[in-house]
Amino acid sequence: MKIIFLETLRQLNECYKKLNEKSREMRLGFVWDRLPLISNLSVLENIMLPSGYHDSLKVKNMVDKIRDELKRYNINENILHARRNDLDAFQMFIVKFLQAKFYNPEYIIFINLLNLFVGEEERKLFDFFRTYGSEKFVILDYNGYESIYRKNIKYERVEFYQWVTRDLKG
Amino acid sequence: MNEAIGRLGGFFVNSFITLSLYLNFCKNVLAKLIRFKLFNPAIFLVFLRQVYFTGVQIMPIFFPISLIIGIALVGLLTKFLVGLGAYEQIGQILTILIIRELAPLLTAVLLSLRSSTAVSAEIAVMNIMGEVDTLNAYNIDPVDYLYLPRIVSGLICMFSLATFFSFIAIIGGYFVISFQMNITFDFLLTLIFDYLNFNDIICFLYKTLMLGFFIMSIPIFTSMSVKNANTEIPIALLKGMMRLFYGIIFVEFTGFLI
Repeated sequence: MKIIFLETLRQLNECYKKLNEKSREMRLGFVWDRLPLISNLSVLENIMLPSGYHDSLKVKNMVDKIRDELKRYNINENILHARRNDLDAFQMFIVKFLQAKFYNPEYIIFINLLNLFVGEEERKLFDFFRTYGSEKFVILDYNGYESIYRKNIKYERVEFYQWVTRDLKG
Repeated sequence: MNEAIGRLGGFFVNSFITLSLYLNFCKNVLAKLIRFKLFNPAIFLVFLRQVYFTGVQIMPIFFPISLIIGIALVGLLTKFLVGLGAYEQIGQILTILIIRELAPLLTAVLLSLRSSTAVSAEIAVMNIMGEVDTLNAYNIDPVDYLYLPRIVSGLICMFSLATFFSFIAIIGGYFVISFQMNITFDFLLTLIFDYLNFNDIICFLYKTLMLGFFIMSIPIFTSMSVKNANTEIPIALLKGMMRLFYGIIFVEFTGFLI
């Protein structure tokens, strides 16, 4: 798992712009509150949206798999037919993560996460990273949060453009 | 005086710019329509939902309105024509009145009031909430995923509902005249179909398809400009409906030429 620490919102926007360009050439998944779930789709339909569009995977063939994934992350499967507004911050995080995961991307990029998580939900978030953390995970966050990350998870700190050049070939 | 001329000039320049942008949007949409993957699972879901909202949910309103207009207009007009002894003209009048004019126009008005406003608000809210950015992040083309399913459903629902309107209006009208005159339904249909010619069918198709395209594409095009503030939504809604009104007038006017 890699973390890229940034100074300012402007830097964050520039990084996202670059990543958005790269997402035209390769599959990248995003978990960011500025990229919301589609409000008129259910959780199930939101998770299946990118994979349904690009890989023509049908929702009915994937329901059981999605249910199992939700159970794996301790999320009640009743949320499958709920809408965005019915989810709490951690459920929303998992749904966005599954949306990215089912898209089968080369990297899943988590952006500015700690902004949304406090207390119990922050603990759940770090439990998630400790248990399921992967080489595919890249976190972009402000360097003000560095001490919290250092205290909770093991990661490799990288520079954004270095990572883009090395791993995204751009 | 100069100020008035300046405003008028500004109005025409703005209208020309908007029209050229809209035509460009239509060009993009139609170019993608050729390669449109309607049966892609993600797109088909949007399409089915839109057909349900536009073509099915409207039925409880659409059916009585068609029937009432059929009874009021067709029934009374037919009775009036029979009273004048213009018996042979019933087919001609009904064909012109219902199939060429009323069915496309009233269906377009009802769909505009119900679906165009909803689509306009939906696209505007999706823009403001950043949902279109989510689609872009996953390399999902908004034209393919958001616009085309709605436009195709607009075309299908407009044509189907206008056809449905014609039948219901004729049946409604027949109920009125059958009570007072000895006209069989078969005879009424024979009068209509005897007069119905190729031009009328082309006119009906032209109007329903053009209006079907306009009732979805104009609100979508207008709402695409909404970017930041909630206050932009009612403005886009208002502009969209006014532009749609001009679109309906354009189709009605050009329909006369067929």
